[in-house]
Amino acid sequence: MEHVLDIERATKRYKGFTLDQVSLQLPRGYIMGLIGPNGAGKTTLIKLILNLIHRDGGTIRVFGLDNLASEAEIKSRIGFVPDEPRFHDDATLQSVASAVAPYYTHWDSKRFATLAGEFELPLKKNFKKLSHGTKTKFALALALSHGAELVLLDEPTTGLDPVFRRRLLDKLAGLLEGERTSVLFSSHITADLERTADFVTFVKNGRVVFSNTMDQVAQSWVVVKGGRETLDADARAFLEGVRVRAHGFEGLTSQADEARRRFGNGYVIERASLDDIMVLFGKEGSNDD
Amino acid sequence: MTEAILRNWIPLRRDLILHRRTLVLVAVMYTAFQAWFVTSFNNPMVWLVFNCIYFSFLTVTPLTADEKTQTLPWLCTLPVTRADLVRGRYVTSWALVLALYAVSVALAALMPGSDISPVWMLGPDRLLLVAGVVTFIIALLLPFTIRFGFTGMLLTLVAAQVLGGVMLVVAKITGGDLGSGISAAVGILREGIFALRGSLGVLGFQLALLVVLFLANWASYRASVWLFRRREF
Repeated sequence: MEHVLDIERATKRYKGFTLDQVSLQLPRGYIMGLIGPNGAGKTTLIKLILNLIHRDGGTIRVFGLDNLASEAEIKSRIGFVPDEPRFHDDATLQSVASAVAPYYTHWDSKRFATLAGEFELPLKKNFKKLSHGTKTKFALALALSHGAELVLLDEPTTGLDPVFRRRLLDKLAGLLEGERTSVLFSSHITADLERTADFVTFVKNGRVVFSNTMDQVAQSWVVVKGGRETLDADARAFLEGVRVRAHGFEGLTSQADEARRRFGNGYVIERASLDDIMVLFGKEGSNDD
Repeated sequence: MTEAILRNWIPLRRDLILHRRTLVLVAVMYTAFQAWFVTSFNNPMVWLVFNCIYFSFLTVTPLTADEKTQTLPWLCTLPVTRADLVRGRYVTSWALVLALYAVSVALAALMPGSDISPVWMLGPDRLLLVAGVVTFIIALLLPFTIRFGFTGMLLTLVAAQVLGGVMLVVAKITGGDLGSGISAAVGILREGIFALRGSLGVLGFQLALLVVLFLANWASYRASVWLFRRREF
């Protein structure tokens, strides 16, 4: 299987935070969701891919090329939508697009015009006069107008209205029809990812907890619910995160089969959603109530 | 060759489009200022040097606008290397210098009552002087601005002011005459230049100066690339 993105033990050290030996692989033609709480390292990882920050260790290969040695070539095949798009305040959207176009060999003006119409972009308006949602739509139109083979989206759905959020997700799914484009999509709105992602990578405190297909995640991660009195030391040791409430507990594990053997009658075992995993993973049983 | 021109034209075109409003404002201010200057300044050489200092600072304007609007991270996501971005900045700066000098020449020629001769402005010695002064300022200013943004430019200016202040204080304490010192230094420099010009011949001297100016720009560009590569966004 051809990987458009192959990250091996990528490391970035800041004072007080380290993105620690992160590894993941994204095959061509798939969408990968990058989830994790705020400050987990999702944006840092995307910045490393784009060489906006310097890595302290590891390798990053995009389309089989080193992201530092072949920076310009790689970026010509990447479309990027940042969490907070910033373009020149006093320039109109049309001006920004015409300034950007010559940088890309495969810039498609017709496609840009189509997307601008579809996203209802006010091309004659200055960038500073736009809402956050419209800025994101514009960044997305730019990212999708040069035949990008890898689209990197950093929290793109934050600040978008539900109608456009759905349209954006459909658009991403549509990109994959040719099986040429891949998408790395960071978000903490897990419902968006459950709807579209083929793979999911969960990052927490600068480390990858898992990087699997959605099917594998659905099969292996479960939430165990039971009475408080049944949460003994063995159960706590087995579970990878526990939340204790007034009338019971919720525990998370990636060993679904073992959980079904270990916890029999008196427990409820449910498939864990990405939200459950994000909330419960690493929780050590403090009472939330 | 065509590819190299195209590669340098793309960032220049980008700056002309995205900084259009700032550039128009600069052009109007500059033209108005120069229209007054060419009819009021009776020492063309002083005017020329002052003019070079003035438009050298103006050329940094687009760069500080990129800092102000925080668009540098976006520029770094475009399919170019950091070195390409820095080279684009130098190309834009020199293109603006040429454009602004052309405006000055035109004003000197067309403004009624102008005391400055456009033919004099286009003489090889004057052009080399312009290139020298602009190189000195841009080569010093751009690396700091590229690394530290608008703050870098201000710091360079403040550092120059502080250096001047310190020299005045030292001269006062030691009882020295700073004015005479500067005059002596300029005199030595002038004599050195004339001696060199005498030994190399006029054409040889001009060519040597061109090479030195090119190397100064190249060294500044390499320093800027090194500094810009260290920036994180």
